Amino acid sequence: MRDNMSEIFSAKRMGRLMKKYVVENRMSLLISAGCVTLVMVIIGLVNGWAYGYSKWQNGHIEELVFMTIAFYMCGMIVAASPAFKSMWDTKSTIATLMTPASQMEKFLVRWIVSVPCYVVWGLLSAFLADVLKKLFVVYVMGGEISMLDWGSMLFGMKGTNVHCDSSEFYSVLLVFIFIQSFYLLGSVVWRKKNFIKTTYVLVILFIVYAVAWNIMMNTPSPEYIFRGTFYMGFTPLILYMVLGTIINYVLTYKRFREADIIHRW
Amino acid sequence: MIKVKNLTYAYSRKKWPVLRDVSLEIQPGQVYGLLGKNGVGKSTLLYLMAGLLTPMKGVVTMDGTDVRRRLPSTLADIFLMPEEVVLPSMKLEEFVKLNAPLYPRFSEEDMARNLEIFDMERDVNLGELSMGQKKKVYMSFALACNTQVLLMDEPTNGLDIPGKEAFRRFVAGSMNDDRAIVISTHQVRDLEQLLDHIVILDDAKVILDRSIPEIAEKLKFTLTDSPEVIKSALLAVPSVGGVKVVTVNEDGDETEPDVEMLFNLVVNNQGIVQYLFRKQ
Repeated sequence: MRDNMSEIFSAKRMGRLMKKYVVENRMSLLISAGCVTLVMVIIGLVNGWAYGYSKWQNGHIEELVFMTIAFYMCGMIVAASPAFKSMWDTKSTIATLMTPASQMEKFLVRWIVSVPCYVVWGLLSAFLADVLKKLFVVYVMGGEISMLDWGSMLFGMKGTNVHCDSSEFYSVLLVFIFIQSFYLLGSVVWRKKNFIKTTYVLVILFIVYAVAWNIMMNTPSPEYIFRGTFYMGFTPLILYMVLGTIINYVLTYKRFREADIIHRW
Repeated sequence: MIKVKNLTYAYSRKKWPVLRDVSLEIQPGQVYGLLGKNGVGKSTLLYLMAGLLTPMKGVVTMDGTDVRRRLPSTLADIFLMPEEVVLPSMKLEEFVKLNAPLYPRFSEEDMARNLEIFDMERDVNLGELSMGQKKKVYMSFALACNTQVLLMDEPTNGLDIPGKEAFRRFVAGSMNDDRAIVISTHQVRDLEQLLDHIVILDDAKVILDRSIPEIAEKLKFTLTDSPEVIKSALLAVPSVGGVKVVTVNEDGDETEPDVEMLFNLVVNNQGIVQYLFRKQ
């Protein structure tokens, strides 16, 4: 039993594989991380410049909206879409598949970098951008501006500048992880233009869901089952997103596990 | 060691199989030469042996385990050296530090010795090397991993003349009773002194799978001027100093097989060869 488990997962081997992956891809990881931070900082500074002299608002809503869009876009383009780029051509596929580690470990390394590491880095970059925004407005422009209420957003602490509480924050994060899981799957399914193809698929899925939602909303039914936009839109959506994310991760792992060096799809 | 059993593979379901019902066995202590025309499926067979392709039918096992499962223990015992080597842009020292721990039998001494044979320095940057140099470095690493099976696809392509000589010494010096090396190649002249076993592919199947002693027992390879010998030869090719001929070995006098002549004979006269090497 122990031998079989070590064929699937070994902490020591996982550590070595993670180190190998990070060192071999350090330039592309650094560039990706740098891009995310740069975009966030630009948003923070532009927001600070736009609202630095305003005495009646801090531009927090706009800052949150733009940072969220940037977080989403970078998460898809920079983190998820290239996650399996080593499987896009025959030569690097050989090196990836022949590395003496389990397919689960090879998948986990890429998942860890693309999902939790990206989320943490994205949030840190946003926080840094917010700090730089305040420093810029106070010391360069000589104005006044407050930072976002990070304590309230992340930890549900009571605050005075609450524009986004923790339930809203984690809902937005759940949507991000759900959508990003499609791009992760797309990265291993398609060798070329996977970002565009995945986007097409998501648009189609969204249209199907919207049509189904519309039909159900207009179908006469007992009030306690289908009435109420909130119930219809929100509760099953959370379930779909959690299940959908798990399904996408499983499909990504299975597709990676069964991948050959010649792409016959 | 590696058993290929009734293997059939096609690049797509609509195309004719490139390998059809192929079976062979790779035994330890032997250097196998995998020969065939362009596009016949030599590289494909190597990739199937490494578990990198899914056969339509049949199975490849390594010590009883299906290689397609790609278990870490199997992967640690098979090293595939592809025709074109891709290496990350980093120092060789760093590359070895990252990859060696994944191979339990990796030997630093062997690595140092192999680099010396190829006249390569340890402190090179892999991104700055030519294709031939990358091959030398990668080959040094491959043999230092001391895997049970080493699969090599056109290993001498891109090597200079000293490199080819070094490769021959390299392979000869690293063979032992526990290891098997399978070399897919067109350039038989570079390697014929090394080979212990010849496998020839043609028309999606194995048409010859014999050891050098077995071949020498059945066929004779000589250089002659005699018109009678030339007339009765299975294959005759003009050469410097006479005519190279392949004849049936009737007197039991074994000669060293000329692999190129053997290949031409087998591919053009499959019926005769099958008759000669039939099981009795």
